[in-house]
Amino acid sequence: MLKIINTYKLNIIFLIVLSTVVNVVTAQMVTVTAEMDTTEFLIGDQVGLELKVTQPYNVFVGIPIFDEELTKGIEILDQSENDTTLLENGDWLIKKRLLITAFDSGYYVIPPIPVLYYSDTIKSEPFIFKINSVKVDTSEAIKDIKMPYTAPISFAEIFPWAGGGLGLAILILVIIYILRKIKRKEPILGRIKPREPAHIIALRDLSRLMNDKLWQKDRVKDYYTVLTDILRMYLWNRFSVRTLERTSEEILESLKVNKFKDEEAYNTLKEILYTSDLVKFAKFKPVGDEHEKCLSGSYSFVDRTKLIIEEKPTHPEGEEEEAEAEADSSEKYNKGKVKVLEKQND
Amino acid sequence: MNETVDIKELNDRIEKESSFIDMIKIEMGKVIVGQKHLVDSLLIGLLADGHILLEGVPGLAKTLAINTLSSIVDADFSRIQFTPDLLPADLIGTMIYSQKKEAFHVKKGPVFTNFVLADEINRSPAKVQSALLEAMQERQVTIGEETYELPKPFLVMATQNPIEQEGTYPLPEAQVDRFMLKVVVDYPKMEEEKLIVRENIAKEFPKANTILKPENIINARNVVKDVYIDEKIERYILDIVFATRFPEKYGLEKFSAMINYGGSPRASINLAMASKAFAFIKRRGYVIPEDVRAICHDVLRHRIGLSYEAEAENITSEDIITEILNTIEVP
Repeated sequence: MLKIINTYKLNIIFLIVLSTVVNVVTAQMVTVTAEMDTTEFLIGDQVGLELKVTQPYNVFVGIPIFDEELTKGIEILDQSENDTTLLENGDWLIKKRLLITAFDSGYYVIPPIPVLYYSDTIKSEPFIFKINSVKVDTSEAIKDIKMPYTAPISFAEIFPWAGGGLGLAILILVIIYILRKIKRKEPILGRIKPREPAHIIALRDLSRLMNDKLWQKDRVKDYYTVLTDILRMYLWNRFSVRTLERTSEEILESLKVNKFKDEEAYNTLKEILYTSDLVKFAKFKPVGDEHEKCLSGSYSFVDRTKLIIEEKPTHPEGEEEEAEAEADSSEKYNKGKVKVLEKQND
Repeated sequence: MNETVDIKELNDRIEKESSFIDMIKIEMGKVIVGQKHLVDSLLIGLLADGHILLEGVPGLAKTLAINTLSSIVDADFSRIQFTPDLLPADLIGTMIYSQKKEAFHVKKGPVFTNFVLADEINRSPAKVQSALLEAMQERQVTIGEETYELPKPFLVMATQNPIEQEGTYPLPEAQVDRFMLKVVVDYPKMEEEKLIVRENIAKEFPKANTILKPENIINARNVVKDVYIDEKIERYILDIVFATRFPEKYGLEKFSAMINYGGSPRASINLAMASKAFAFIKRRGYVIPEDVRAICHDVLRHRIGLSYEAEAENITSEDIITEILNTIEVP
């Protein structure tokens, strides 16, 4: 029994020794190194720190994942994924790159970086690096180290302003359009109905006055009031002479100023206006034929002074003579320009 | 043409009673060079029984015109020079104690006459100007406890210098409203002034003859009253006066803030009366819109109270009246 126990103890001791020997042998085959791109740089600069682990392919090594700080004062800005490369001797090379910076000048120590190997820990060698502060020339005034950086303007930044400006411009144009329409007393939407010629309106109103038979109903004053109103409105529409706010004398004077040349029409109008004034303001009662005379005189005045629209044809150069010969043909006038001619029978 | 009897008869009466118009104009023309509008305005005041205020810079024959008109009519005439120290009693009269009779008796002032020339009326303070209020409106004067009627015809013709001049007092609104016409006298034309210079150098000042009696004026006034004024013209007159009060109702919103007060009912009355007188001068028995427009500025210019906005915008009552006449529809 004692012999069996002793044999068992010996086996265990052998296994422990063997395990230790194997570990030591393989551990010597795993190496960890850490090195920086430079060991001296300016405050705030960003520098690379590379961790390299060499190991046999058949062992497990635990590469650490770093926090925001490597050690006090050294910040880790970025860290790469583990990059594994197969070496010629069959071992693996694992690389991990850190981007570090520091914002205080002085000497810093990169501490040993531990790598787990089974129950053991293998560490890199610590090393020192130096961070220099910016040299200050005290003889000069304080100034920016670098000028402010102008960030490029992106489309997303411009779009709201450009869109808003365009919208505002459209809104202003719409308001101007609406105001103009209102000022001209035109419909805001839809097409403008062409104005009727002045003589058409006047002749229609005169016909209506004739049909109303006001003077036959002993409404002589009303008859002459309407008659003069029709003529005044016609003069306003036809000659743009302000007649509604003017007296008979002033209306006749305005026509003279406007170089109204038809003497006969002028005298007809004068007689109608004076007779109307007498009826309206002086209890004057004309006899029957004078009513008709005033009405026919009004028709005559409108007819003699109405605006006639004549169409003038347009022809290519060199064909004018031929076109004149054919001028009688009304068909040729259809495509012609419209020319406004005033009928003056003087 | 068949005229109704009324107008025909009226025209005949006018023809008969207005014969003196031309004579007055001839006599006035002997003394006053040019100033046709001034002479016409004086005639309108005389015929329409309305007092007249003449405004213009010194030297434009305002006083001379009134003096001449007074001399043409065989009537009593007083000239009162308004000065800063003038008292109301100097105008209308006062009660004087007589030691002999041991009683107060009335001493009538220069206002008891047919024609009063109130020269430079705005040189006196408002209390003196206001002394004329009762005389002008009621044709009577109260001294102490007694009221005395003024002679007929009674007409106040006042002159004033533009208010911008030194030493002038503005007439109170109540006073100014009692003047039927305010006539602005302008400088004579060059040819007219040449004639004035020649007359003055030669010291040849023609005199007007007395050709008219007060009865002629009273008769003419009765005819003027009968001049026919149609309802359409009345409506036109009212539209004009109402436009000075409520311009926004007549499409003249721009004047709303510029007018403190418009024409009073006296403006409407005077516009109608002056239109009749103007028609009479034109030998017409009826009023036409031209008559109203011819005298509108003279009747209304002193009855429109302008606001500070109007003064700031350099808008005058003349501008407002012109715009109203160009806006109100003529019947």
